[in-house]
Amino acid sequence: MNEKKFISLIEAHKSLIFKICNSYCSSNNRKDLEQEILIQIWNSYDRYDGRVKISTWIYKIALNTAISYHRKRLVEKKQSAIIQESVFSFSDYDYELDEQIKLLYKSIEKLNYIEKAIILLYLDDYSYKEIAEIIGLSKTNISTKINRIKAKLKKDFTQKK
Amino acid sequence: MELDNLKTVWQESNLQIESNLVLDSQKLKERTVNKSRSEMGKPLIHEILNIIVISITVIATCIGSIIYSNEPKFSVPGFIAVIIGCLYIYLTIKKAKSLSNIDYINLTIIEIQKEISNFSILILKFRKLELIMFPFFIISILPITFITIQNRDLYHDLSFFLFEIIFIVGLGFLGIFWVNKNLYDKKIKRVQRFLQELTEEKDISISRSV
Repeated sequence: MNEKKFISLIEAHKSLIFKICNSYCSSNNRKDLEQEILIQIWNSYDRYDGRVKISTWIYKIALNTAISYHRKRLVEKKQSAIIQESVFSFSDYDYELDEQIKLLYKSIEKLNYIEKAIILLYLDDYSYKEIAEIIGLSKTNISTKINRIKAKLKKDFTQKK
Repeated sequence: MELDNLKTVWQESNLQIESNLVLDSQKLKERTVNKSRSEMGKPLIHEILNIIVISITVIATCIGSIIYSNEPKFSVPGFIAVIIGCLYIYLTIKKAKSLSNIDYINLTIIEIQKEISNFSILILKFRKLELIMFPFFIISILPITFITIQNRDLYHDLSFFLFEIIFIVGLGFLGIFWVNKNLYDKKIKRVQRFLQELTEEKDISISRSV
């Protein structure tokens, strides 16, 4: 893939990558995960054949990288981040100051790796059928899981109030 | 926050992120494109070097064994070393086929994670096998190497040969046992547990849909 195409692809999907990094990692390690996702997209792009939506394909790469990174970190108990600076920055918005979204991310942080993937896809308006196809579970199971995740989030919000 | 508002809050934040998140394309280029090229090259170069070194050793041992084919005490261990060396090459080539071949289009996230886990288990088992093979490789390669390079018959210098064997087999196997038990076996168990978790997710899903 040429560099220009890659940059415009990341530009078009920056918020997706940002949200996944934010949900799977604490601020310390977010930049490392971001780097791994970007490298994985760069290395895999040549095999993208257009059969699925590009955003779905990026979602799959980013979620898989995030799950693997999350597991690796749990096993190796790595704490320190190698990458110092993110390729993303905010011009005029600090989501950390947005209390509601901060609360939501904190609750998502407590979910397990599959639940995180499901809720992210759900919040980004993917249908149950699409979520089932991406994750690899049945539609019924996805619906049950979403209800269970909602219950968990509700409990978490109530406790925080 | 009410749960009904969940999506609304998320989508509002999405809009903010979309319009305010700035991508530093120069940093992205330096960090990803350039780094990826050099980082990807390192393991590949390492594996290629491995294959070259082992291949040269195998070819040299094979030639030596053919030259001494009328003396089985040199040629038989020599050919055993060639077989072990070929196994090493096979394992190295298998490893060199990296995870970059993952099919992100047709496979689901659970399937990809299963594939990654199975690949990790395979690599760890290969490493265990390589470790186990190492002392056998060294022992079988010694007589033919010494006779070819130094014209020294190790069977006539039995104390030296026995010392080598005891040293390599004794220390080597102790080390291998320790590394396998404390490193690779633990890692394999961890990956297998994760694999089990994934299978359970899938099984629950199937039983529910039935």
